[in-house]
Amino acid sequence: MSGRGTEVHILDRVVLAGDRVEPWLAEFRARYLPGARERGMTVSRLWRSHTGRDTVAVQILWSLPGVPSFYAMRGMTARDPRPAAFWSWTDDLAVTRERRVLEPLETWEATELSETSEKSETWERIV
Amino acid sequence: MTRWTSLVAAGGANTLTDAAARPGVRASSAGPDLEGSFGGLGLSWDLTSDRTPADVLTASTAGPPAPAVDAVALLPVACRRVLFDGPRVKRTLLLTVRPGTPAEVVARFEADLAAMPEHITTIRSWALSKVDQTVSPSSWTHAWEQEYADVEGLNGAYLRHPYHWTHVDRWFDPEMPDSIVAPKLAHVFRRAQGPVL
Repeated sequence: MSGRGTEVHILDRVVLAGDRVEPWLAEFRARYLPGARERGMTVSRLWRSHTGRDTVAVQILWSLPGVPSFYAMRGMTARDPRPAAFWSWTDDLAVTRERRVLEPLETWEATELSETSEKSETWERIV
Repeated sequence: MTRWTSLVAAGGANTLTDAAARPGVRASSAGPDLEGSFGGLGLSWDLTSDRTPADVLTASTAGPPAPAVDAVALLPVACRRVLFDGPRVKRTLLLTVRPGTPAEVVARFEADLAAMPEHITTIRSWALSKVDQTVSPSSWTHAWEQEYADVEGLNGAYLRHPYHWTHVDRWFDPEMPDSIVAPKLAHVFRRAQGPVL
């Protein structure tokens, strides 16, 4: 079970026609980002990737400091129609849109490194 | 016999004390909503009766006038009874699935809710119900009820489990493209001296 200190990540993926990316980002910065910050959301990463000849995916990785702050954000969203209105506007514009809420597996890197190290040692012994 | 769950105005506590003894009532359990509840009226009342909660409250000719009641008739979707002794916490979530949501999507939502006890071990008895609109029309469409041994089982394990906030919550989140639940909820929990579900 996740505790108070579990950082919560949210990944938004919006696929748009290429010529709509900059106008959408301008609206995102003006209409969505300030309120998201007030709700405790921080942009950790922002990516752009081409998904076809004339479509581009914008991906935004948000972070919140813990599960309580996630629920606090959700409570504020439930009382404020503007975030849903922004996404409704986006859905009319976008090819596809997804949002995923993610739990970090913080021990993965350490475990993977440990396994890699053990394999290397085994390899050296075999050699 | 119909099982009902009701939100009752806070001033109605006295009218509920002898509800279990009134005609047509098989079971009655009520209590004040605990801190952290929202969307309720102050009390929550679980009733099994062949009469409506309003009828049961007005059955008594003496005493104070009947309080305001938001009564929901329940039609079982899935449930499990876990026997344990002693006091407990009864939680009720009343929600509204948006009109026009396809039946197969509602079925996936219901399946995700009903799977929560597989992940969250502090949930003891539980019941997922549709609202029986033919018995009593209501703006609510579903009731999601659980019993816990203590408040921490709800406010701790239930809320913090990643199955809840990485998966089930998406049905409720208006920012999600596949959200189907209207923002207005009633999340109420209270103490009970024995089994309710």
